[in-house]
Amino acid sequence: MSEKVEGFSDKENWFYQQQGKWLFRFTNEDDHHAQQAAKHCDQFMEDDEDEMIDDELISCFNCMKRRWLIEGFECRGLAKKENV
Amino acid sequence: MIKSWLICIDDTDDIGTKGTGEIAEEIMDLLNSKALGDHVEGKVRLTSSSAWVTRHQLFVHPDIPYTSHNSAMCFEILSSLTLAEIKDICVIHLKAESALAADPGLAIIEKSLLTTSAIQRLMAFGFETKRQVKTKSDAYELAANLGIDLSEHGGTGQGVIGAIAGIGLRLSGRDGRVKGQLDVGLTNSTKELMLSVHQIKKLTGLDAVIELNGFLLNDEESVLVSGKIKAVLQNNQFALLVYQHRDELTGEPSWRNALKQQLKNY
Repeated sequence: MSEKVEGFSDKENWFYQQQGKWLFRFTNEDDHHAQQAAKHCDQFMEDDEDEMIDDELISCFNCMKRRWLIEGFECRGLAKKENV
Repeated sequence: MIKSWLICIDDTDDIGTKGTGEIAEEIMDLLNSKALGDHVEGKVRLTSSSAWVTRHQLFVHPDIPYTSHNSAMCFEILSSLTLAEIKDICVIHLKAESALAADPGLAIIEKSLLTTSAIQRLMAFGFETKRQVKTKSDAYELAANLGIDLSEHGGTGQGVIGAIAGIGLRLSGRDGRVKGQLDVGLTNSTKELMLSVHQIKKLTGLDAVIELNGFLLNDEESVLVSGKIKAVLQNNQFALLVYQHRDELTGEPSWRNALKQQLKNY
């Protein structure tokens, strides 16, 4: 588990911080980057099957900790991690 | 006397807790089991397609305090229970199962009491709630005007907005995905099956099979089904959504059940 935490030190490849929120750099259509980000993340938590929108399970688009926005989403897993 | 009821809940969950869809399904089962105890006719509803829970996507906006996706869950039952009895069952279960940080809302309406004008207003509110920020006052005002039983059960009670919006969207017959997956006989050893539309309808209880533009497939057409089989509510029908796949080598077209990426727009 700790290896993955270190691995996600490159989270800024997929997210940027704005007003204390970690926002996805890509669009809601960009499955590839959502999958790549989730593979590097130790915070991934499967959402209800009914809320999943990516056929690839390990994807930020299927994670309970993503909060959809009009464009993209906010990762609450990263925000929580920073506050620990 | 058996009556048809629409019930919708919203904002019951939090990260890591039971989802709103699951809670809705549990309430529907509780109500159906109660109906079964009283009336044999109730049994019909357990296998009826209209007994499915539908998920309705609402607006995602920074000013709306949703958990992660902002969707409401709605279902229909036939029951001889009174409004007070139905509401009691809903509220007890909502309070027991909702997350501590949730803001649950509950809307209940007996369908026969809805006039055409009321249905139109509910539908309009539902579709507006998909693209505008609505307030609790908006929701309560509409409920009072149309005789909808709308109530909140913890937290800020913001869930009342989605609850009444979900009723309108369900009534529209053209919004939402059906909660859960359909069983067409796929197993670990049978990962895909070629089925006729007729077979799919018979196996699942769905009303129709439609392609992405809304066109109906004939009963004789074949669909290669695999993975998770999900239905949508379109054209007042519970339908399997399919897309046309072209074989990479032969270019031969075939129908396949929609992918999650395609279903997300419903």
